[in-house]
Amino acid sequence: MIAARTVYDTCLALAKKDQRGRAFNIDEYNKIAALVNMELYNYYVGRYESGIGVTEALLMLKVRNETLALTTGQAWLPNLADRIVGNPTIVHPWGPITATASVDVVNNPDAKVKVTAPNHGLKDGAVVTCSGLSEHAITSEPIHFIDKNNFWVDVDFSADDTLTSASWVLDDHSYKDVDMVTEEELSAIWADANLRPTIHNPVAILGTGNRTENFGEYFNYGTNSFVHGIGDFGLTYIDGVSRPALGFDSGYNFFVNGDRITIANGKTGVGAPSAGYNGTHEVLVRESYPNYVYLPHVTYDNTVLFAEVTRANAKTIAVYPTTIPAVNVSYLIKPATPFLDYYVNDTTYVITYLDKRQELTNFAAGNTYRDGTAGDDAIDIDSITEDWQWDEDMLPQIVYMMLQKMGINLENMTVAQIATQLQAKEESNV
Amino acid sequence: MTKAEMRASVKGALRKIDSTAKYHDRMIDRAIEHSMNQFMYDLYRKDPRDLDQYIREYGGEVALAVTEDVSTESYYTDLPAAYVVFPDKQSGVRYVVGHDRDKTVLYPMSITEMLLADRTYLGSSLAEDGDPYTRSFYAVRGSRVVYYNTNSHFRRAGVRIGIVIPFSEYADEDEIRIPFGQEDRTFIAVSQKLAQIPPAELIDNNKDAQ
Repeated sequence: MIAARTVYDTCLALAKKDQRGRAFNIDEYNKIAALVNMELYNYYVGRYESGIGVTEALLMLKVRNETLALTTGQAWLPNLADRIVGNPTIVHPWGPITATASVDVVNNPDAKVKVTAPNHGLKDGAVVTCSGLSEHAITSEPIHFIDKNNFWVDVDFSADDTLTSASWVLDDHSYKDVDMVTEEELSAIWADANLRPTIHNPVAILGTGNRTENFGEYFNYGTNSFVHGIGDFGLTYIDGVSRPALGFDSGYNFFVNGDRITIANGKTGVGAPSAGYNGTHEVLVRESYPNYVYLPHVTYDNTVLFAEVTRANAKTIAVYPTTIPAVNVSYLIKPATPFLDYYVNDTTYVITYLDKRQELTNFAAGNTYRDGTAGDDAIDIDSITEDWQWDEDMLPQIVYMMLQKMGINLENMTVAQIATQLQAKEESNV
Repeated sequence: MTKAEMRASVKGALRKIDSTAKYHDRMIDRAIEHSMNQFMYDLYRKDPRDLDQYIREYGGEVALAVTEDVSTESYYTDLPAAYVVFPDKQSGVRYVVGHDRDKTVLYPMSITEMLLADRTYLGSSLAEDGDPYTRSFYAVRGSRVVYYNTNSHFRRAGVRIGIVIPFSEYADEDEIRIPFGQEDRTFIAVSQKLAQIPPAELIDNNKDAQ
């Protein structure tokens, strides 16, 4: 992590400019930093895993092996996921159980449990654990091969099982990659008897969809029960005005900054219609508070306690065959957009930087916050400073890329040219 | 070598065209199966008894059921696995043995012979002491074996069957037995077959869609 202030101060020092001249002010820095940040990300993503240097540069942005539960073969990708890296994987060998029954074993007085598991592909003696059976506990039992669709285990049969997403998994299981295919490939392999997806040859494809979830809670008098969603409505102050804040349960936020949110079917806590937030709005998500979604242009309404929230074009992964219950994915997230927050002393004009997550309680009179909010010894300010989400050793590269843009901004081509040369030198070290 | 190792060895030896043109596991399995079938046939031509090494027995612990086909008044067992086809009466179903007290061993018969036998006393005779002496037969018909001249004990007890199964029937962790010195032959035949497949056209422009 590189502090936002470090990059800004280093750039000023190298360009022989300072704040007082306002030659390159913080607002300009913030705008260019967002651009440089994405430029840097795209540079490394384009060379992803071409060498250990590139891999390490992107390490802070990599999420490995996250398990996504599939519903009829589909899951929403995590909201921050930008690019899937490598192929997704599934637990293998694994398979669904479609029936259990009693079976008589030659020279054995007790009836045993026969498990029907189409194309199980298991070797005689493979040790499996089964789940989703109501009557029998089959844990780490060696199988006795009957045929390619059936095996029996040394568990006495007691009664018919009710199956609930029943499946078996090999105790000594490994993982199998899920082939990522294009739409054209998928349409071709559906019709190919050799290549169509099976649990031994699964495929996946990416798509998008409108994701709708219940948010908040209300009491439903019809069913005499609470309807719960994935978070609660709250209040925040943006530019001194009270605005709605959606506090998602940890890990449930599926919005990113700049998304559009559609809110419908707003209700009060007792289920009466309350349309204060209904409509489509822009959302603000601050990287420092990833579980909160703010609505900067909507008026706060304390009567809305429940609604259906929709994110258009959320990314999905579809896995075939659709009986597969979960898939593991690794992905890159976009780096947080760097931002340097500050306030100014009204008398001395001295600028004070704010650290990430710094809170100014009872913001002192005689100061003005970045957005123009005047201090009054009462208002609280939360810093929205965001540091550069890159390793310390990337500082030179970031500074040279900043200086390049800064040279254009200052109409100083010498700075831009020297920065370009230095940047090329840094990149050659990767 | 297990089936999975054999597949991985072939895959590893194939030329990498690029990161997207991949050899599908099922295609590799098919290619290996064709070579293995050829190899089994060569073995059969040399001496059919050598196939015993490649038989997998089904119905050992859980007897395979003998079922009545009411419409034709005949008895049959659905085969639990595919078999390699050989040009004789048994084809890939090399033996059928009853789970009854006598461990009745059945004799192979062709389908045509079985049709003709229905009009004869074939298989039924009296032994020297005057007791009934019967022989039972089986014929391979598609994915079933059908029986001729079986008794109720045999039918109640069920059967076990020895089948020469193709490569696709093996589990990934099953050992594939290839006779000493023949690995290279199978491996080279498969690699040569797959190396002739040109890379697929992967540009997603629907040009070949009609």
